[in-house]
Amino acid sequence: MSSPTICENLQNCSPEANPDLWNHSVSDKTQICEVDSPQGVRLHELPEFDVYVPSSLGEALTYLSGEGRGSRLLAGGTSLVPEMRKTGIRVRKVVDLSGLSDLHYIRRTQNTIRIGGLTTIRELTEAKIFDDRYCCFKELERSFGFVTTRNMATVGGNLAASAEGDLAEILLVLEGRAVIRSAKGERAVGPTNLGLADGELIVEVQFADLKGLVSTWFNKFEKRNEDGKGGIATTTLLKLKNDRSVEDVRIAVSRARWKETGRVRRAESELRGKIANAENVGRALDKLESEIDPAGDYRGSSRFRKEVTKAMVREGLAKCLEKLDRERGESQC
Amino acid sequence: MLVRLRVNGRDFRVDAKGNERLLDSLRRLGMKSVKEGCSVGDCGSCNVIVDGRLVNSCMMLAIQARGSEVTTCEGLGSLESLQPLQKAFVDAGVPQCGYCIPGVLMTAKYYLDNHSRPRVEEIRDILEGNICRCGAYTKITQAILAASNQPKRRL
Repeated sequence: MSSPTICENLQNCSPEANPDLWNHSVSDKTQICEVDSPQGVRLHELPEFDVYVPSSLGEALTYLSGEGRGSRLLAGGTSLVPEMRKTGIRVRKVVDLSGLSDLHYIRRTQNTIRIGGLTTIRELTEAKIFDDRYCCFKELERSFGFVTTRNMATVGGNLAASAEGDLAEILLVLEGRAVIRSAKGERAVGPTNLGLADGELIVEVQFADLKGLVSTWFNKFEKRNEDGKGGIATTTLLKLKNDRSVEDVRIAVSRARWKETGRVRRAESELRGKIANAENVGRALDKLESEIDPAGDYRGSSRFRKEVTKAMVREGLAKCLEKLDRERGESQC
Repeated sequence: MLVRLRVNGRDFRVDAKGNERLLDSLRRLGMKSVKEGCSVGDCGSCNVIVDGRLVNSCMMLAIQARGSEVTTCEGLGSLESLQPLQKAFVDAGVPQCGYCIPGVLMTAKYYLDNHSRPRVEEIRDILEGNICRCGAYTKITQAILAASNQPKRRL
């Protein structure tokens, strides 16, 4: 199966090729604009707050469970600072976690990959531990904000800031978990339902190391890499048997249901066990189209998002197939 | 809160409030090349290099930069003795209104420090984080390529 470019995939979405996509109807519920459209943004002064700088994780947890109750956590700052400027929220105490070097790591222990909560996105994209099976991480270099964002933003911060974030989607496909710790103890949960309570922080994410003939891909569609939220993103994982039949396939898309990032299990089931070819991929994409119901906003209507999501999943599967068809260990992301 | 910073090779102690951004501290220290643009990390006018990492100083609190080595445009060269990167910008006639240029120069320095063989596509990619309302991107790219031909240690 050849790998169409995203431009080729999107030809059908142009106003000339498909004018219906661009005809917005007022009565169409999917055309509702968000209140956070850029026209309405007004910046506020940063509120006055005290900053607590813990010297260890234990110290941070003790503070958060005591006099630091109600504190906001500052990791990279790429979410909290703009949030304070854009929303004018009142913040009285901030805990600066950036100095906790014991949460900066990427390790493989037995069959599990463990990533510290304060690992930056740049460290993630450049980690030697991730080979060609983990192209989903390497692709973040192309689509996760700007170079400054990748240098500052952290894994834990991105997960905590939004369930719509890129990492939550990738971890859904990797079937990973976020390890959350507080002074009371530790719990591990899925990446999109963290339910972070006061006093809790994300110390680690972990997932089973990928084995066998497997490849992953992350794709994102937006005009410009800004904070990355609200764009259209898809992550695919494809595992083949030697006869090119699909042993496992996992697909996660942003806004699978309204604004929730999620897996598309019916589309996955359609492809699992079948030979990976254009025909079977096409059938799976038809299932995907009927399965997702993305919320529309000023960036694109629901129907537009559906079409683009479909094109991106097709491209993601094609990229995985290309990699798997090549000699293992020699391909480059 | 007392924050120790090393800016362009000089040591400073800054008495900063909790909500003071690195951008504000640097300007208080006289580094007026560091410009405030969008204030939320979108435009790159406030870009500086902190311990070898290019960051938006509008999104970093001063306290987060404690003990760090910070490089701003003032650390590149003086008016009398321009660094090759700055000279390449002048020779290519890059600056128009000039507001974004210090941030662009920091991005360019960061790029050249980390890429021994610059490529036009990579330069265009990395400039995505710097908004130039004058639209000088072509000349900026030419200047960065021209500067990369200079001896690397002088950049």
